[in-house]
Amino acid sequence: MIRFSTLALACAVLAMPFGAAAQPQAAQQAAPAAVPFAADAVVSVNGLVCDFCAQTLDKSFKRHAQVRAIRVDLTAKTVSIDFQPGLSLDDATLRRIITNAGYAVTAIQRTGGPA
Amino acid sequence: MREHAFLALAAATAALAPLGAEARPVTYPSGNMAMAEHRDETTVVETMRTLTPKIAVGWHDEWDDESDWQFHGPMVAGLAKRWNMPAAQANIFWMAGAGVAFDDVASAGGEAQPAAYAGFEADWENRRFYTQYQARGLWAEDIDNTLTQRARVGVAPYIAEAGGLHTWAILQVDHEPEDDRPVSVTPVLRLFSGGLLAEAGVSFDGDAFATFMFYF
Repeated sequence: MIRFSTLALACAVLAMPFGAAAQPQAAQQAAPAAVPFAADAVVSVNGLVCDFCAQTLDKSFKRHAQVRAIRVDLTAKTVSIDFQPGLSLDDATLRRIITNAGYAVTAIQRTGGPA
Repeated sequence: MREHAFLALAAATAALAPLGAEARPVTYPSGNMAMAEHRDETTVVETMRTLTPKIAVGWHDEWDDESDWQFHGPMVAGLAKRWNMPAAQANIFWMAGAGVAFDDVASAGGEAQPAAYAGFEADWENRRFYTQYQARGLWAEDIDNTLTQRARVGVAPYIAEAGGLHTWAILQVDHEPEDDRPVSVTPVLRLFSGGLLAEAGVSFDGDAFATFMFYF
């Protein structure tokens, strides 16, 4: 049983998609250097208190092809989203992604691109 | 062997994962968590997968060398309530498991009996302070029936941003009524960043404590 548990854990760890182990930093660096991060939407969020929050949101957003990168600012309590060119997510979808990740949206501000 | 399993998991997570996170049984849908904890003569290994924003399922292994018993079985955990505040978050989680416990493993090779446990966890934190309380009851027929508690308070010596190394100094109090020393106080250092959490400490009684937790 012990061996099984150890093996199962080892397999789980090894099966992780490390290339896409979307760390907040990694997400911020995922876009090519020639294409700077552009915050198309800035979402104010309650409950952002730790790095785990940033990782959770990063992984939740990276599942959507419309999202090129995100940035989480724990001090400003905001999530900035950079959409792929010509693409976007509507406010309801942004709100749903963040709510399902366990946090509360207080405001959504669009700064450019299609809404 | 149990120590080897713990060390193997610790080495794997440390070697393969980028450093951080919070100790939460329920994360986000499709999120996974692997955890190993060793304190005094007890080792716990858990793997969890979050199915919905409020429910996670997994597997729980536990070895108690002092009382010479083991527990193995599936578990479920839930987020009962979360408060998202502008600069803080608070949670109440519940967890339960059922499986098989083995008694007298070292002396008699292990006698299997049905076993179950249930408990809850409450926490509150902002970026500077952290508090947590856990309680768990274990029922394993005539092997062991006990209620254990753990309380924690922590402070971050500096405020780290997303992607940075987050450090916490924590004071942990464990209460195990049937233990030789029912109350144990342990200073713990926590480091986390991104997906890996590591904690280490030594109680005032000299018992080692370590936790490795990996979210992926």
